[in-house]
This record gives sequence, structure tokens and C-alpha cells, in this order.
Amino acid sequence: MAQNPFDRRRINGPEESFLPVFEPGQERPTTWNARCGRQSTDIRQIFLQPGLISQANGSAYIETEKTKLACAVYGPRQSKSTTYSEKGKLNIEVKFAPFSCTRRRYPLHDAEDRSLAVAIHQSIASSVRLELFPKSTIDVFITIIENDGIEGCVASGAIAASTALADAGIEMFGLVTSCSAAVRGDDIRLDPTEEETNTSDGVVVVACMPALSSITNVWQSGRITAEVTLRCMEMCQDRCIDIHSVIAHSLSSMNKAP
Amino acid sequence: MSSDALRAQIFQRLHPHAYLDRFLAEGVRPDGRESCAWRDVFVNVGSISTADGSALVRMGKTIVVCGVKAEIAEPELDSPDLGFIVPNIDLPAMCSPKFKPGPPSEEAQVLSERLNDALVRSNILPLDTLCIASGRAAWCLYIDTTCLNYDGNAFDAALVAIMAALGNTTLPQATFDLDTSTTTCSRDVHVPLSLNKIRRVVGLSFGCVGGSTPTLLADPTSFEEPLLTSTVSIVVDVEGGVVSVERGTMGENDGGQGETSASQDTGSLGECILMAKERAVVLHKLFE
Amino acid sequence: MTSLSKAEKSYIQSSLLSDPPLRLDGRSLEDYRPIALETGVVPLANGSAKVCIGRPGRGGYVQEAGGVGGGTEVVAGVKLEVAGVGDGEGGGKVACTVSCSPAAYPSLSSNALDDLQSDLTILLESVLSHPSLRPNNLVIVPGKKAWAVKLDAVVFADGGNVVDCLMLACRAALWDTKVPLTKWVEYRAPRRHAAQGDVGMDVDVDEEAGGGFETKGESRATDFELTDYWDEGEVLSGRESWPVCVTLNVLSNIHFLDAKLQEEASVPLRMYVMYAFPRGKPILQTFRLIGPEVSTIDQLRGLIKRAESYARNTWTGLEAKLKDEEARRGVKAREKFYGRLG
Repeated sequence: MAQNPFDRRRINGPEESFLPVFEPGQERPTTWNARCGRQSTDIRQIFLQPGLISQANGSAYIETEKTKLACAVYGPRQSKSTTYSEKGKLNIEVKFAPFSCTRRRYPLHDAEDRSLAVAIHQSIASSVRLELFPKSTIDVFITIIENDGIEGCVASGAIAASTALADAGIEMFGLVTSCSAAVRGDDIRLDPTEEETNTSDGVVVVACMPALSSITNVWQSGRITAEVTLRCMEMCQDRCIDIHSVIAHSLSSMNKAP
Repeated sequence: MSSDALRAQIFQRLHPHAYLDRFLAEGVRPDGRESCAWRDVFVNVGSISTADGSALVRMGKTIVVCGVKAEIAEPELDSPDLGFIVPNIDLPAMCSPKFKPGPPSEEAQVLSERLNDALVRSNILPLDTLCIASGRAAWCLYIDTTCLNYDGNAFDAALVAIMAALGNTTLPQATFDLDTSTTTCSRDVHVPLSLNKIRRVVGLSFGCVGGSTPTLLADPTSFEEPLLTSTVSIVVDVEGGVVSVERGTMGENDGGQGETSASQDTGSLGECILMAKERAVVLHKLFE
Repeated sequence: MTSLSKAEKSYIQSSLLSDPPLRLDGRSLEDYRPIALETGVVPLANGSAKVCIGRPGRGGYVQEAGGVGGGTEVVAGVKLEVAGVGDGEGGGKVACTVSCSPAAYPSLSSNALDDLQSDLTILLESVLSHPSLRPNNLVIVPGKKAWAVKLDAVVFADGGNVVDCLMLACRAALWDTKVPLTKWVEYRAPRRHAAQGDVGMDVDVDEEAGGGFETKGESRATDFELTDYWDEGEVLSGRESWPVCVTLNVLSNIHFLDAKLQEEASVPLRMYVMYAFPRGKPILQTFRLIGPEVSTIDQLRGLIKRAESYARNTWTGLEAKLKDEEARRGVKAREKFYGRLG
């Protein structure tokens, strides 16, 4: 049920088109099913490849089963604004590919793009030594190729952005890793799929710098008690240490390759 | 990085024309290819579950992803039995420092038009096969291509990606209920598109550089593209038939020289077509 | 939002860190400025509220000695609109829009103002539109039509702590909202879904019942009419679950509440902690970390606990005030009603 904004700069389809309606029957499960092949504290396998985008100063591609996104870093380059700034600016833009979601996304900026960008900015901004880049901008562009839950995208986006920044040789205090959790009752599941977040009471995304054991971002919403939220944060932080070694490994193996 | 490599890099940035000329004088291109060699192409289909069909294509360092999303729309009044295909390509700021965030650049608009043109001319997907109920419902295929890394010749890469994604696309079986005027789709039965496989096309692009050693370059990279004086893009189908030939002259060089190089190219057009047909055989094998 | 010089920043920081801590206006770290709340301020809305923190009616840019400057002022209004139910949405989504008056942010460019508005909108929507908070008495005709809740908030002045103020205003406006009573045309009894408990079940049952009559009958069920007293609606169900927000401003090992603009600009880390206390049980509804400083899990653990008691104070105060308001306006409405009769 998408409105097609007529845009001369694109090839336009019919005025209106609708998502296919499926015959009733085997609806997609809307229950908190048992996970198959994965413990509730397990995260999905991460495939991380820095340096995929040769045109950029630094880049990373990350894939955790169905969540797939690519990130490129350009800069530090001269800021466009004329006002003097003592610190560098970290500019993050997130874009969904039109085919990345169940419903086709029209290629216009929407609120979700920005909310993701804001969350990822919070996750990585405190790790970058922006005071070293006066008058400059570091652009981080993220394209989501396949989306399996917004929380997963926030977490994977932060990991990819931090890896790409490292790949670009930009000085940081530490690598940022991030992990999400979904809660239903007392049941906590790390790295939930979209289906799991949709049926959960609430979600928590934590970003941290394991090397400094500091937390850079917490993004919680939903009906959860403070105790459970804190438990989620601890579990995510533990898992982030594992993810940290994944990033470190992918960066060092890339540098070894000719 | 050794200081020699650094010096070469600075030379490349400051004097790109001279840099390329010196390579071509030695009969080789900056990335090590011969002037008429093509970059390797890899295709990976069906990796995106949110799309009804998808393909990722790497052509050298150029990477494009194409995803097909099917929606249902009412056919136009004057063509009640035809569905829609809506191909668009996006060159986001991510894929190259040349592009800025925001609405589609001119380059992206031109590319979208050319891809649309290739799809329409080739008639690979007859639009009447997308009809569900005459005048009431038809499939609308949004064929969106996103460039992840732009290292030149996005047209050829995108066309391969689109063809591969269409080959991978399945649509749920749809039935139109006249009483309720609604279309219902089957959850289990998915059918592939009725592609006119014999009309499948691939694009093959060449560029021409003037300068001291005028040379024809197949499959130009993003470094070579701005230095070209003219381009030729040939669309070839499975049987080796030429579907379209498109020629462009780049505005960068001054008028007089442009004239001469353009006339030089005319002689080589036949050569281009021969090379394109030869290469098309290789590309078409990718879909099998 | 305001730009402070390094000297101003360090002045504010060092006085906050001194012993005893000093704030610009002499408050203690845990004090709020006076809060004023009034509901029913927008006559045409289904629910509305105005909240002022600090002295109202002055732009946020007023910077007087001692920081006596303006307060924060937000007006929120709720409109219910009839909308079709489609795409598997059972209705009950709260669509939020926050607009910021340019007068409240004279130093911001229009782009920056847009960004601020959209950030606040996203924050508010992610809190209030969360599936766990959806009111379930918004269905008009099951499977066909439902009330869509449109919540608009306008920031008229920002003297700091705008998020707390927004949440108070929105919560009060939602609390104040009355859902008009409707009835289906072909059934005589008006439908009151809230009274029947679980609506998810209700919808299924009703649809089957509709199918049982005849196919044509189902389309007639889309008609509904308002009952006579349109202003005597029922309140949104689950209204006691909407949270209140406490913003903690964190500077090294101290934290303080209800920061003014200058104070906000001089702390490196802020936390939005939103608690709800349905039936007295504390629920953390949203938690966000804002700012370029990092935190640790131990610090967060302590602060989230502290925030609970602050939030409970705000919550209790707000509940009491809302009940007062309801009583006051009930009296007024009755007088008006009888006045009209007489």
C-alpha cells in the first residue's frame, strides 16, 4: 500500500501498487518459538570483510545470516560548512536498499533512516578521536542490503562502521562492538531475528568498547523491568568481547594479505 | 607504502591523462589489462530473502546488487493486459567519492534510462505475462539495482545483475476473485517468470582515449572513465544479435580534437561489435 | 542547543563539581523547577495538555544573570481519526509529531530545527507507539475501522529538559483523551470493547459472526454512528502504562535533574530514563544514552536504580495532578451542561 511519489528523476511505475495478499492459512508464526540450532545466549555467525569498497578510504561488509549491510568511510575531508569547528564532525547516513525489507522501500529518506543513523552515531562517536580532525568531516555511509530487524541493523551497523573506520586508518580509542537482545517475560535472547523482536516485550541494544570496558550506547525500548534490562546489558557486553575478536581477526587477516 | 609508489600515486592524481598515456604507450592499462581485455565477472543469485529475486555481480572491483520486488497494481486503461517493470539504479554516496548523498545524480538517471531501454528493446520479459486479470490486476516488478562499489562500467554490471535477478525471480501464484475484487496469492506455489530467454541481453561497453596514442579500451574503470573522449555501448542477445548500439562523446576535450577522435572511432565501430559479440558468448554462459 | 564558550562551560562544570555542588539558579542537584500542568487546553482535540517547567512564557534564549531565564513549555494534543484497518495492523498505533517553534530555538538553522524535530518525533514515537503500550479500545468495527491516535506536540519554549516536559505533556494529553462511544448501525447495543477484556480474541469472534450472517452483511457492518453524547467518551485503556521520563545529566561522578539549557550544554552525557508504574510495579519503558562520553555497566546500574525513585516522585505528582484536573474539569463540564439545560 505504498504511495508512489512521482519523481521525474526516476523511472516511475504505476501510481499505486500493493503488496501481495496471501491466502489465509499458515500465517507466519507470531509466537515466541523455540530457537532451532541456537541457544538463547548464542549470536548468529558474523561474516565481516573490511576493504570491500575500493573507492572508499575504508569500508566493511557485514553479514549475520539475514542481516546484510555495507559501510564505507570517506574522509577525513574538508567540512562543507564555513564555520570553524575545533573538532571533526562524524556524519553518518543510513540508506535502505529498496529491496531490503518485506515491503519495498521507496528511495526517499524517511524517519527510520535517520533514527538508525542517530543510534549508530551514538554508538561510535565516542570512540573516534575527533579532536584530531579540526575543520574536517568523516562521512560514514551505510547501505542496508537485507534487513532482519532494526535492532540487528543498529548493532551490525555500529560494528561495520567501527571496522570501516579502522580500515580507513582513523584514530580511535578502541573498536566498538554491539549486540542486541530481545526479552519476553524472563526469557532473554541475544541477537534476535526480526520475528523474535516482533513478538518480544522489549529490546535492548548495547554498544561498547571491550578494550576499555566502557559502554558507548544503550538503546532500550519496551516493557522490561530494570533488573532484566541490566541483565541484558551484561549479557550483551559479554558477547561483545567475542565480537571484538572477530573484528580484530578480520582486520589483521586483511592486512596480512598482499 | 614506498616513496616510489607514493610518487606514482601523486602523479596519477595530478596528471591523470599523462599517467594513462604512459601506460598505454607500453601497451598495458593501469590495472594490468591489455587494452581490449575484460574484467572477470562473478554472479551470485538469490542471496537476499526479502526480495523475490536477487543477484550480486562483481565485475573487477565494481559491485552491484539487484533485487526484484513484486507488487500488485491495476493495469493502465489503454493496456489492460500488461504488467509493469520499473528498473532503477542507485549510485549512492557510499560507492564512490564522486557521488553525493541525496536525489539521483544525472549519471544515475541516465543509467536508469539506458537500462530501461535495454529491457524494453530486448523484450526479455513480455509484459503480458505479468497480467493476473485483464484490466483488474497485474504484477508490477520493481527492479532496483544498487551499486556498492563503483569502479567503472556500471551499465554492463547492472545489466548482468538484472538479467540474473530476473532469472532468479519467482512470483507466488495469484488468483483474482471477481466477487471481492481482490487478488490472493498462494503461499506454497511460486512460479518463475516466463522469461523470453532467447532475448536475454548483455551490455558491453568500450571507451576511446585520444592523446598521443589513441586506444580503444574495453570495460573502462572509474579511473579511465573521465579520461575517455568517446564511448560505445553495445547490447547483444543470446544469438549474437546486436540489440542496440549507443555512442557518446565526452565533453571534456576541446572541440577540434573531439571531431577528429570521433571520426577515428567510426572506423573502429565494426571492430567493437566483433569484440562485443565474442565477449557476449562468455557473459551469456554465466546465466546457465 | 546553545553554544557555550569554553570558559562558561568550565565555570558551570566546576561549580557543579564543587562541594557542596552549586547550580546556576541555586537549586540542589535533585530539584526540579516548578512544573505547571493544565489539561483540556485545546477545545477541539480529544485530549490535550500544556506543561510548563520553570517560568513560562519566555523564550528559551533569554539568558539573564544567574540563569533565571525562560522555562520550557510544551502543548500536546490528541486527535482521534477514523482510519481503515489494513496490512495486519490492528489499530491502536499512536502517531506522534513534534514540532518546535522557531521562536524557541532562534539560534538554529531551519535544517537543524528539522533534525531536532524529527529526532524528538522518533524518540516519542518509539516510546509511545511501542506494541506493549497500544490501547485496545480503539476498534470501531473489528477488522474494518479503528480510531487512529494522532498526537501532536509543540515546543513553544525550550529552557532545558525538553524531553521530560514533552513526555509529561504527552502523557497528560493521552490521559485526558476520551474515545467517543460508537455503535454499529445494524446492532442495537453500543460496543464497548474495553469492558470485554481481550480484544485480540474479540476481533476474531466478531469476524466469524459477521461471516455467519451473509456476505453482504459484512460490508454494512462498516457503518457506525456516534452515540448522542459525543463528549462523554471512555478513556484510553491501559493509560496507566504510559511512562514518565527522567533525564539524568551526568558529569563525572555526579548527576543532576532538570538541567537548564546552559547546564545541558556543559554535561558530556545524558540519559533518558522512562519509567512507568502500572499497579505500582516499576517498568523501564525506554532507556537512551546521549552524548559523547562513555559509561560503564556499574555506573548505569546505579543510575537506573536512582532514576526509579526520581521517576516515582514525578509519577505520583503527575497522577495526583491529573486526578485533580479531571475533577476540576468534571465540575466545570457539569455546570456548563446544566447551565445549557437551564
